Amino acid sequence: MKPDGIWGNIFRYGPRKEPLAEVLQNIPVFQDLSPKELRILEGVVHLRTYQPGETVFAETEPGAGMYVIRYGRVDVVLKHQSENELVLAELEEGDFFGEMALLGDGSRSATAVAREKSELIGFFHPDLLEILELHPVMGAKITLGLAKTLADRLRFTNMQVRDVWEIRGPNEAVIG
Amino acid sequence: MCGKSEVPMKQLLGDIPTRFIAITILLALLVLAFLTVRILLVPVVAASFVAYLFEPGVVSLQRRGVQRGPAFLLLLTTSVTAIVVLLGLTSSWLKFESIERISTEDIAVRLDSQSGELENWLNKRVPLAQSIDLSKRLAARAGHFAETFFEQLPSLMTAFAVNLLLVPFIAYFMVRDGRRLRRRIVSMVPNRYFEMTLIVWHRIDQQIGGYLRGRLIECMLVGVTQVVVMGITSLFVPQPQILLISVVCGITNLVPYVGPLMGAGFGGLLYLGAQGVPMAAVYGLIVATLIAHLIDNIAIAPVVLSQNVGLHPLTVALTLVIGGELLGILGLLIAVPVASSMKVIAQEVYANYQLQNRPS
Repeated sequence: MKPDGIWGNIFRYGPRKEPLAEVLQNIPVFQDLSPKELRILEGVVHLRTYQPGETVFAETEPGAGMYVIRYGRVDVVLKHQSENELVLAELEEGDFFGEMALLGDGSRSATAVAREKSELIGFFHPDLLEILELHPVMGAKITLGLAKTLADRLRFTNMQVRDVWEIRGPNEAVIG
Repeated sequence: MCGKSEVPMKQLLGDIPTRFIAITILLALLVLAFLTVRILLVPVVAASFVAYLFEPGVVSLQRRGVQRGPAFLLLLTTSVTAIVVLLGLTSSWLKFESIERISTEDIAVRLDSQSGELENWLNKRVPLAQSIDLSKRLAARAGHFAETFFEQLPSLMTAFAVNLLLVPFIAYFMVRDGRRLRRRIVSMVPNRYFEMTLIVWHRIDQQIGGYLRGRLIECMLVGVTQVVVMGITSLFVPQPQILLISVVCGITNLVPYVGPLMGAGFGGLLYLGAQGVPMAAVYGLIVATLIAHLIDNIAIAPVVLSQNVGLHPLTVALTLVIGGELLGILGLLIAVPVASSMKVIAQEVYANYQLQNRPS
């Protein structure tokens, strides 16, 4: 949402920033949190700014957690900067990515690159552990939200596999 | 951001951002300044030990809604009160005023006579040992060491008293603001290295925290064991200053392998130099320390030190030599945690390298 008109130019200099709690509340992982818990979460997350073209994380690198886009746009790509580069998703304000790394060790399965100047909210594995240690109920809500999100993703992937199965037949679906 | 001026620097340094180099240089300068002002090292290291020790208690209180600062103060006050009450109850048994005067000449004379007897016994059985002249060398060295030690004792005691006030003060701020400070430092790391820094910091914190808490609890239990064993020994031979020697034994136990020797050495020198303390007290102390060390190895350490840093004994030995050479006793105390942190960093960098170079 860019400001328009003379007043917009006078009173608003940068991109419009949603309050942190508001952005976080709309993320399925955090949607069960109370306003008080969201305020605690605000103090735990990390704000990072990325320039256009800057890599947020790279494929095969060890991952530490998830990112939520506060403003800006991020592309999730496979084989970044190679001939076979494939854009998997174009994400914008309010979208989130990298949540699988929240669960612990593992490498990133794709590369995330900022398409324009973006501010991301980072929530990482050590942060989740800290919340579980200090606020167990809140930690349980986040973990449950994370499990639901991953289950949704898995269900969606299963549906896609079934579609391919039905179109191509079992052998081609497995090989392809 | 300032594209034109960054181009030649980028050509020179490849992919490494200038901000990262600036932060590295700044950190190196800070470490250098810190090493130069050694007077700060002891209280800061001791305070970090205290902060790590109290962390589980602070977290437990924090879960009940108490802020970190007040939680630490509450735990500290409770611990100090408990120690004072315990000392008050056992003061007569622990024999505080048993040693009235310590003389370094006495140490040399008594060591000379004792090592002389030992040398005669050895010469009778191993004639070759006659050329070594053990007793004179040992007496001279021990005498010199004791002289230096007891000369420095008043200043050591003053420094100890100052640290006794300074350490809780620094520890309070470490507990209260530590997490905030860590977030501030991590926020300064460039995007490229941010996640890795976060993971490495977390692993180091977990590993060092577990190790230090384990060692500190082990040392406290060793100190208590030493008190009990020396108390039992005192039924047969005189054992003055049980509390002082046990505290020193507990603290020196933080140094792997040589710690118990250092504690016993301190007690031995104290007894040798004290007037009116028979030689049997020294032998009693040696036996008591051996028994406490055995109990530690058999019963305490295996239970308490479940969180091992996973360093090879040779690495620990070499690390101790380097730590001792660089920073003396303090170096011996922090050598293993520092080496363990370096190991975690190396492991993470190597794992990162392997993942990035894995055939897809």
